[in-house]
Amino acid sequence: MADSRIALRAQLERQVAHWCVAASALSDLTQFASNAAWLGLEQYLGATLRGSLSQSILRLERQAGLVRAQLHAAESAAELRQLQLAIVRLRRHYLAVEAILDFYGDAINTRTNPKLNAYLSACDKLACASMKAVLGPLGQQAPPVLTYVDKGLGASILKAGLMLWDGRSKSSVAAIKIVRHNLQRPTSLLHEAGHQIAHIVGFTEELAEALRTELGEYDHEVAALWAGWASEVAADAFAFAHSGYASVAALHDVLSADRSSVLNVQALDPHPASYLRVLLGREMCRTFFGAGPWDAMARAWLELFPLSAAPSSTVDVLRASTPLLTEVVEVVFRARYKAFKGRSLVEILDPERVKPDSLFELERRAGKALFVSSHWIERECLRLLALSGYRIATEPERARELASEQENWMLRLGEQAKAA
Amino acid sequence: MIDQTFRAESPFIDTDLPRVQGEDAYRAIAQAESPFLNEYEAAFDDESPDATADALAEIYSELYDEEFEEATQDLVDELTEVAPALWNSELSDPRHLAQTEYVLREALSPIQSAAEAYLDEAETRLSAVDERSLSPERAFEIMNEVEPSLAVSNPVFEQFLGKLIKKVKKVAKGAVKLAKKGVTALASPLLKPLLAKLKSFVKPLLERVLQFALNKIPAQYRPLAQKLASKLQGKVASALGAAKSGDSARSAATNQQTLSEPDVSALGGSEPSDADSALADEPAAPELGDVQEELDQQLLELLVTRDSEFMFESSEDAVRYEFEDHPGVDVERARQKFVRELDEHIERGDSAAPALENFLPAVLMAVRTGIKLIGRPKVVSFLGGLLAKLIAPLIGKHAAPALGQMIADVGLRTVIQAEVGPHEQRTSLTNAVAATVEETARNLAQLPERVFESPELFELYAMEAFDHAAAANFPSQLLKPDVREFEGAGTWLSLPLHGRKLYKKFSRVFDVAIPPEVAASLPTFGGSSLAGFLRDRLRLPHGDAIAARVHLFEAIPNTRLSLIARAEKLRGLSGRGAWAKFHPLTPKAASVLLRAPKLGRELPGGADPLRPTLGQRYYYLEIPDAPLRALGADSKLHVTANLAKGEVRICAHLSEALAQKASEMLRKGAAPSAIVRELRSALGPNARALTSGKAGKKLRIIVGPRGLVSLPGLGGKLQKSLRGSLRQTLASTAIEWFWLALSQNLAANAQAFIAASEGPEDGVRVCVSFSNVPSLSGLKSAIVKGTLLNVAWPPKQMPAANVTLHAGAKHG
Repeated sequence: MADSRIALRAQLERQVAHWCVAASALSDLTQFASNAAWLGLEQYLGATLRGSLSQSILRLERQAGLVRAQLHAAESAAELRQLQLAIVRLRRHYLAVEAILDFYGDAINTRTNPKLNAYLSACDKLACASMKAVLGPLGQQAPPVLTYVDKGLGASILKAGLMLWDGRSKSSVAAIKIVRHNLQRPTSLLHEAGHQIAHIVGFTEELAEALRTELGEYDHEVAALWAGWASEVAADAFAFAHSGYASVAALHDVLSADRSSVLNVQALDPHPASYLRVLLGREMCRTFFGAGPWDAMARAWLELFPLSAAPSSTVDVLRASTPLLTEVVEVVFRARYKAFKGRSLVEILDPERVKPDSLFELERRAGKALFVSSHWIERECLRLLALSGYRIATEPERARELASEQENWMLRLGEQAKAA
Repeated sequence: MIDQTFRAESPFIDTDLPRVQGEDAYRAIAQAESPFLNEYEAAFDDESPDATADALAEIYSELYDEEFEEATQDLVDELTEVAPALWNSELSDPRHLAQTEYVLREALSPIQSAAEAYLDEAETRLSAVDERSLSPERAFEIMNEVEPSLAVSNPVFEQFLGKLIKKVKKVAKGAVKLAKKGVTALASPLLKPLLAKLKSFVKPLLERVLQFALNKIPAQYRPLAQKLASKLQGKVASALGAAKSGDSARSAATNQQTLSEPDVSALGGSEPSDADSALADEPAAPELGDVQEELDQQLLELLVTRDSEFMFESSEDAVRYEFEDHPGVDVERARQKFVRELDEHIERGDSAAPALENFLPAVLMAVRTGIKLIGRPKVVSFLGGLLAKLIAPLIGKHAAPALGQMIADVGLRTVIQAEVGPHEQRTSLTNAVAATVEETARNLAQLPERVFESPELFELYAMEAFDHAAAANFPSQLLKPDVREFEGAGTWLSLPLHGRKLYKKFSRVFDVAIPPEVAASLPTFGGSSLAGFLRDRLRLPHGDAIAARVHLFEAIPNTRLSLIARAEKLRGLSGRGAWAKFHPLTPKAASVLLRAPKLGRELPGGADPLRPTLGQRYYYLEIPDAPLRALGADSKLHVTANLAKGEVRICAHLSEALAQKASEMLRKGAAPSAIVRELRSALGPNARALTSGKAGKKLRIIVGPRGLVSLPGLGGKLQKSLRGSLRQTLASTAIEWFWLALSQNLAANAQAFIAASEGPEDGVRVCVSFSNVPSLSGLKSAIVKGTLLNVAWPPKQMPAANVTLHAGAKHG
């Protein structure tokens, strides 16, 4: 009996020692991203992230220390067997912390060269500026943003303030994935940052309720669907209010897929049907800007994706929703919300600023300096994105030239952001 | 509760000051001979025009580069980063000091190698051309074609190297110019030997910077003017005297070596003992400006003594120094000793007079005017006795613990944000007492000598100085209401807590919201306003109130603003140029920002953040929304009047925000007058500084070779006042012309301004020059002689203007 207890203790001791050593080794963050990559981050972002990751590792090390102490204290075979469970929990905790470190390490490591680093720093700055524009007037702080690049079609966000994989740490920065093909059209950043804004001020829940109530006057079933789409509708609205038609055109190009995808409505999917989402974007443009290239875009969209091609399971919802889009825009932009301290979204972030005429006026005011002057780039970076995006959307024959111009001012913005 | 034996004269509440009685009148002693030259003495009274001196004066004037000092400061800061222990200890261990010196010298070696390689390459290229046909401009061009190459990637090193090479190019250009004018022989080769000699300047210059970083100064330090008088040849001396006499940028360093004596017209006046003004020109640390000043003079000397007339065996000998600790280091050592002795005194309960007798001379030795008091042992002894009695109740065995706790609670605990033990409490008290004694003595040293002749008068001023010093070192709760600087919890602390004290910080940090109109009303360094700083350097949106935390600091011996930045580790105070983010805490700033005007100190004219003066106070705004580093350069306005040549030149750097604003208005078709009104408003504080005698380096008046002759019947002060008034009149006219010329230029060629603003460069530099300005010779004569103006000024019509526009902030 004593022999088996000794043998059991020996196995446990080895495992505990192993996980303790492994946990300690995590504290070298350059295992996950090179020192140069860490140093490439804007100072405040880097410090915030390092601080929160170190806290996660510290918690893991504390747990490892606790298990080690328990092992020392354990005397009976039962206590030792109980300890096996503690080791399993420690191992699970280790893997979760490792996943956190891997995630952020991979994100930081996508800044593979100084140019991409500067470009992604500019993305950080744009996303942050878009949040500050809304959160500032509401007396709220915008979290730091870490943008990283990845493959795929669409962007995503790991919001700041969410619980991470270890169930103990909260994410300290908003980590936004931007897909490679959209690096030169990064309006999706604003959509993702919109999710963060909505999370901080609690807009999604209020909007869902408002959509349920207002659209419910027309169709309860459709209203319930739109309420479920509130988070994505809100994010689209923020992106539109910041960048106008640029965000709508970019969204169109991402959603433009085969008919079955576009005309599909999936239960529990937080995204509205692609068919409706593009038309909602056009409705936003029409409501705030009047007639414009978005009308032709919508006509082409309807031609490519006629409701007659929709499956019978979704056609009624799509047909019922289409005439309600004007109402959706009204609810989103003009209704007043507690999340906005009793104001409407349009009162906080008026899309008038990114109306094409306003953007052309900005271009006239600043002249050639607009895309090269640090003053304009710093002060008007969001409207530069809107203007570049508008040009890219409406002048495809200049795509290469416009992409180059966009890249150049973004690089300047990134360099400025790093210097700041 | 404090010892009830205190009496009413003490600045402390419920205190009882023992009276000083029965002191004999002081023995009259001969006035101490000042080792310093008067500002204008270096000039000559040679009335005849002199082309050589004119030419040298012009080169000397051109050699000056305001940004050189900033580059040197940044290099010093970089060295501090290389050897962080530099400021954490006294470096009293010779081995440690030697090691540090070695590390720093190694760190600097890439600059030396790069500069020498540059000079070698330039020499090779210039050897290939016939120098007889070489124009100054072509020589400059050839040297511009050589790219300096640093073996390490370091932007601070690159900046310094760039500035050094810029100077070298100017020297080469000047050499050709002198030869063409026949001042020196037009020999061929002309530049080769010059460049070879210039190489020998590099190492000593870097050594000077290194020693500066170590807080050391050249041994047997003597004012430059005095050294020059004995060393320089006539023409160079004449040129230097001429160039410096009206040039506030050039005279900044020498001005500070001028012994000025405040005028005491009535008892009870606050002038003589008022810390606001008394220490206004007492440098807190070795002055960076001297490095450039000395280098330029040596380079100028080199230009005329290249051949057979060398005063020195080699150029390197001419620029080599032995170094010794800056007096501030000695004061620090003496203070530490005094604090230890006070601590022992508390234990023993005997008199602190012996400790004071040791401490006071060290304090007085470290200030220029201290010699007046040191030369009067009886006065020093009297002061020691008085101070011993004044501080006795504070360091009594029974009162000390309670006082220490109170000071620690208000001050230390807020800094370290933790409970403070009995030892730290006592240290807080002894440090506060030491600082009070030190500042009292230092302020008294500024008094005019006749105060020292009368014990009654001296006692009166000593008491007043002690009041001021106590108010600046003890919490308000301990002070009488009329003495307090601040109503509320807060006190000044000498920091860092451990090791060498580098500055004082007010324990309380103020949360404020600064409306735009308040920011616009507060002057900061360089003639700019706080609003300009927020707009141009931090690029914060105009029109919004700025939420900020205000941190307050005071300069003590050894203070440099970059060291405060490094020690404080506040958001936004890291990296190169952090020293430029401090602002002068004037009574007005203290009033509108903190509602505590007594916390402020008057800003002396020409105050320079690179040259903190003892007792000067500063504030730093910690702004959550601000970028960590400055994003752009300030808007600036410079006026240079070369009276000898009849030229006036005004240059403005319009920050990127201002340049874009002006361009935007031009594109909209706004009237030039409207644009100029906008720019004038933004640069208003800069213009006001120029026309009110507070421009410092921004106003440069070169009067030419003729000297400054005292006129019978006119006292020095009146002459100085007249000169000041004339300089301001000239500046005022020049600025008016500048705006008028700019307005005309915008009307005639708006596109040129727009084009200059369209690149990625930081702002637009506008230079307007006027040649053959009428009546300038009359103005020159009046400035030189310090007399009333006897010509019509300003001229009825603006002279023809030449306007040039450049993209970016840097000098061309």
